[in-house]
Amino acid sequence: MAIRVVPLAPVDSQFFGGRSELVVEAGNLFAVIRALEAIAPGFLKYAQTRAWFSVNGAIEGDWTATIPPDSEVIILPAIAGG
Amino acid sequence: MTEHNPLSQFRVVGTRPVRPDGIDKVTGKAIYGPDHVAPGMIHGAILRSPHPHARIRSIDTSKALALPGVKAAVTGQDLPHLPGKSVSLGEGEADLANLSCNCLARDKALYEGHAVAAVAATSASIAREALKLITVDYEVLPHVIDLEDAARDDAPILHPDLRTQGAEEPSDKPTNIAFTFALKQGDAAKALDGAAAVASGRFAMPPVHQGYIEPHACVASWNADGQGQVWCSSQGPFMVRAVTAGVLDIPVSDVRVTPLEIGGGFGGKTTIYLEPVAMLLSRKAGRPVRLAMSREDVFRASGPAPGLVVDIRIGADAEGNLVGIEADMLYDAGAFPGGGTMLGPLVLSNMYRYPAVDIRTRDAVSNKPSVAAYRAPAAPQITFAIESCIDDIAAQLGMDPIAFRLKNALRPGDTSAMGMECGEIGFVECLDSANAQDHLKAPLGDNEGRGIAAGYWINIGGASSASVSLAEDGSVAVVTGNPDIGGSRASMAIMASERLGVPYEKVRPIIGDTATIGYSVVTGGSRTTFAVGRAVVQACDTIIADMKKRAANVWQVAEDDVEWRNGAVHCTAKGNDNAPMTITEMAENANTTGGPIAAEVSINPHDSLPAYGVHICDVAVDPETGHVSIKRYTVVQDVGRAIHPDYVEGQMQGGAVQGIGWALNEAYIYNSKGCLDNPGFLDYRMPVASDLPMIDTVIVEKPNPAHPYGVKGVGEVPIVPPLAAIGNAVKAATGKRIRELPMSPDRVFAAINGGK
Amino acid sequence: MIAFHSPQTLEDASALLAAEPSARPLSGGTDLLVQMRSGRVEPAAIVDLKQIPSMRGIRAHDGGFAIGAATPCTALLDDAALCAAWPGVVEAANLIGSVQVRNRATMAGNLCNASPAADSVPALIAADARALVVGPAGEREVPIADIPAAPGKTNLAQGEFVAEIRLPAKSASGGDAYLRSIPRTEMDIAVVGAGVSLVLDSSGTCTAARVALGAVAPTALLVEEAGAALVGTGLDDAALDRMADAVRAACNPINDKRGTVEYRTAMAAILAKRATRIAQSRAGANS
Repeated sequence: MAIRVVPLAPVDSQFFGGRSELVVEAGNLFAVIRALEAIAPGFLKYAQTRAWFSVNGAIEGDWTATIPPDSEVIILPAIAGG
Repeated sequence: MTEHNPLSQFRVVGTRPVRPDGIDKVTGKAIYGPDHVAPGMIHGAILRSPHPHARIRSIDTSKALALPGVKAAVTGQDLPHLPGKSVSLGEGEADLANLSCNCLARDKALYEGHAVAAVAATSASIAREALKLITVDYEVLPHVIDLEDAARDDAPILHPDLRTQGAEEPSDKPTNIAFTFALKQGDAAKALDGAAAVASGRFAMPPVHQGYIEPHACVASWNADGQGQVWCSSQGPFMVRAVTAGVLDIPVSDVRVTPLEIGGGFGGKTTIYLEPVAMLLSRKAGRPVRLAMSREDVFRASGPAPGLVVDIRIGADAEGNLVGIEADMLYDAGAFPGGGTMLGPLVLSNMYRYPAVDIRTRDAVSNKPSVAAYRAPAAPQITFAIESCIDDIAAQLGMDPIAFRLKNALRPGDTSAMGMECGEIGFVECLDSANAQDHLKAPLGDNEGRGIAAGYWINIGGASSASVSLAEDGSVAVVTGNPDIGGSRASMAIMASERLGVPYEKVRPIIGDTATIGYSVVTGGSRTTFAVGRAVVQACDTIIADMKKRAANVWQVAEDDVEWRNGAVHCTAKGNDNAPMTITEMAENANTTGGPIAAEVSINPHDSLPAYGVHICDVAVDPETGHVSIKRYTVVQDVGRAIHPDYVEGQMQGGAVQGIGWALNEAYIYNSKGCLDNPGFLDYRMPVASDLPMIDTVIVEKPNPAHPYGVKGVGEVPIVPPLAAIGNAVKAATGKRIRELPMSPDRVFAAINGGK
Repeated sequence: MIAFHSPQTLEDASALLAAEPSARPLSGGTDLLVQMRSGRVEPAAIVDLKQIPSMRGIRAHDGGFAIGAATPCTALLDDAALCAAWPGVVEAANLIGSVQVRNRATMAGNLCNASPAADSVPALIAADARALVVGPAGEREVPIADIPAAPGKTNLAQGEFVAEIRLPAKSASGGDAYLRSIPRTEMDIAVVGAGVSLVLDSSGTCTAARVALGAVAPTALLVEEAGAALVGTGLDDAALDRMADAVRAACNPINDKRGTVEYRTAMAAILAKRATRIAQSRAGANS
C-alpha cells in the first residue's frame, strides 16, 4: 500500500536530502517510520522524540493504528504549548 | 450563577461549585514550592555570572567550602557531559546538554545571571556568604543582546558548534541562527503585487516574562543508595523527573518527584532550572537541600517568551478575499536553541484562507536567558502583526473588520497551509458572537478608539493518566499527575461527579506524585481538561462497567439486563423486581462482590481541537502624554464546553490581562553592558488592578466530538488577541499604527508627535 | 549582627546615629528594609525613630503644620486641616507605593532616601516646606530642596536626621497640586513629577507661584523662572506656555529604563501646566 510522505523542514533536509515527498509501502506509522529509517538511519530516534505525524490532515499519536492506502503522512516538528 | 440550569443536558457540568483547593489557598495552608521543608534540610545558593558572555577559565570553591557551616559546593564540571542527548517529554523534547548547561554553566556563561556554581550550607545566610568566597576566573567575551544583531554574520558566536537546522544549503560556518523553516504555496509575491489592498510592515517586540508570583524553588534529597526525591512546583512532575534524571544521567526510577502547589506557571514551569543542582548538592552534603530563586533570579535566569521581528505583507482583492501572505519571522531563542520557531507558521496558517503563502521563520541565539513557553508560545507575537495588517486591509477596503474576518476565516472542512484539516473549529461562531455584542454599539468619547482582533491556538492532547477509586462509603478519589494551574481539580471532580452520579462534594481530586500514578505529560498546551479529563471519564466508565458486571452477578441476570443511570445500577430483566443498587451500596459491598472498585486509565489522545477567540477593546489615549487606558474589554472565545464556567472565565480574563500588559508596558530592558536593567516588578511593569476595567467574557460552546463533554481547551488562546486588539484601538483613537511593543506612553507620545 | 536601637529622645537618637558610621535611621522602613534585603546597604546599627513621641503625629506650628518624621503617609489623610490647607502635599505623599506601603512609609523617609523621583519632595518644595534637622550640634531648619545632595545621598552630617517636616501657613487664596507621570496607574515610580503652589489675589491674578519638578535632574528642582512666568498674570494660556518653556529649559534628565530625555522634558511641561490649573481651581479663582 503506497503511502505518500511529506517531510517538512527541518526533517526534509536533515534526513532526506531536501526531498519534499517520498513514497513508502506501509500499513501503519510504525511501518512508515521503519521504511524511512532504512532510507535515513537515525530518523527513528528523531521520530520518537521530536516529530509529529499527521495522517490525512489529523495528528496521529498511535503508530499501530491502521492507515488507509494512498494516505498522506506529513512529518511536522513536535509542537508544545505553554 | 451557581444554580443549575434546568435546560442543560448535564447535572454538574456547567455549574460553578466551590473549588476543592480553595480553602487551603485562601487560608495560607497550601504548600507551594518555596514552602516545603524536609527533615534535616539545609540551604543552597547559586552564584550567577555578572557577565552576559564570558569563558569560565576556572572556578575555585575551596574558600567557600572552608567556611564553617558550608556542606557542599558544585560547578558545571560535576554534571555529566551529555553532547547530543535529548529526552522526550511527550509534548516536545529537551536537549539535555543544553538543559544541563543552563542549570550550571560548563565552560561559558551565556547570559547575565547564568548559574556558574552552587553551595549548600546550614543556613541561607551562610550559603550567601559562601558565594562571596567562590573565585571565578572569567575571560569576558563580546556579547550580543539585540535579536537582529545576533542573526548577523559578524555577530559574536555563542555556540561554536551550532549550525542552522533546516537550512536548504547546509553550511559549516558557525552561526547564531539555530533553525530555519520555510513554507511556500503558490506565488505570494505575484498575488500581493496585484492585490487591491495590501498591508505590510516590520513589527518588533522584545522578550516578556510570564511573571508568575511564585519563584522557582525545590527541595532535593539524594540518598547514598542512589534513590532521590524532589519536591517542587512545576507544570508536570513527570517532566521534572525526566529532565532531572536525564541531566544527571541516572535511571528515571531513581527520581521520585512530588508536586507541590503551583503559584503560577503560564508555560514557564514546563522546564527546570534548579532540581539537578539541588540533587548534586544533596548527594555531596548527605542532607536534603533547598534551592530557591529570588525575583531577580527569576527575571535574569528563567525563561521569558521570545522577542520577534517580522516583516509581513498581506493582501486582499477588491471583494475582500485574502490573496496571499508573506512573512519573514525572526524569533529570539535566548542563550540556547529552541525559540518555538515552528509555532509562528502554525499560527499564520490556521486563521484565514490564503491562496498563496510564502513564509520563513528563523530563531537566533543571543546573550539573554533561554526562552521558555509562555501561554500560546509564539502566537501573541505573530498575531500582533497579522491582526494589525488584517485590520488595516479592512480599513483600506472600507469593510467592517468583523465582516472582513468572517469572509476569510477558516471553517470546518478547510485545510490549513500546513496540511492540517480543520475539524469542528469555532472561529466563525466567535466572530458571529462578537458581532452581536452590545459592546460594539457603545458610543466612544473624545480620544477613544475601539479595536478588534482574533486569535488562534492549537490546543494539544497527549499522554494522560487518571485513576478513580471508590472508598467504602461510596466517596470517590480521582488521582491525576497534573498540577492544578487553572482550576483543573474542580474540573476533574465535576466530570467524575457527572459520570458517576455522585455529588461533587463526594469527589476528592488528588494530584499524585510520579510513583503513585501513570505517566502524564505536563499541564500545558491547554490540554488538561481535554486529555486528562478524558482519562478521568474513561476510568469512571471502567468502574461503571465493573459495577454493572457485579450487579449482574448479584442478581443472576445477564450483563445486558443491567443499566447504569443516576448513580445506580438498575435491573431491566423482564419480570424482575430487583431494587436498584446505588454507587454507595456497591461501594459498601465491594469486598463481597469481588474486591475494591477502582480503575486506572492511561491514554494518548491527539484529536484535540484548536481554540479561537475574538477580543473587543476600547481605549482612551491621552493625546498630550501618550498614556493608553483600557476603558472596556470583552473576550469572546469558543471553549468547546465550559466544565466549570468560573475557571473558564478566569482563564479568559487572566490571559487577556497578561496580553494587555504585554501590549502596554512589559519588556526586557538591557543596558549597554548586556545586563538586564529591570529585574523586578517595579520596572518590569505588569498591569496592576487599577489599570484594568472588568474584563467581560462571552463563552461560545461548539463541542469537541472527541471529548465526552465537548471540551476543547481554554487557557492559552486568550493571551493571543490583546496585542493587536489594543494596537487596533490605538490606531482608531489616534490614526497611528504602532508596530513596536510595548505601546508605552513614551512610544505612543512619539508616534502622535512624530507622525510615524 | 545588626544592633537595633529604640531611643526615646531626639538626643539619644542623634548620639546613636553619630556613634556608628554605618548606622541608619528607621521610620517606615519601606526603602531601608528593601535595600538591606537586596544587599545594597549593610548597616551595623538601626536606630528606630518611631518611639520618640515628637516624631509621630501632626501638630499646629507657626500658623502652619509640623509633621513628625515618623508619621505614615496615610495618617496625613486623617488630618482635615492639613488636607484643606495643602491638598497637593497630601496627595503627593499618598501616591507613593501602595496603601500597604503608605501605612508605613513617611514623607521624611521619602525625602532622606534622596531619590530624584520621590513623589512628596516636589510638592513639599512647591509648598515651601522646611525640614527640622536634629543632630549632635543641635537643631537647624533647612529648606526641603537642600536636603537631597545627589541620587541616594543627602546633605545631612553624621548623626543628623530629619525630625519634622514643617509646612508654612497657607495663604487664604492659595492652592497647591502635584501630578506625576507613570506608565501604570499606581505602584510605580515617577517618570516625571511636578508640584505647583500658587497664591491669587481677589481678581485672580497670580501673586506668588512656586513650581518644582521631580525626576528631571539628580535632585528635585525648584524652577524659579517657571514660577516667575506665572506671577502677575491671570494664568492665561500664554502665561502657562511661558511657564512651560521655563520648565523645559530647567530639565536635565537622563535616558533610562523609566523614560527618555525627550519624553521626560515634554511631560514635565505638560504636568506643570495641568498642576497649575488644579492649583488655580483650588485657590478659588477658577473663573
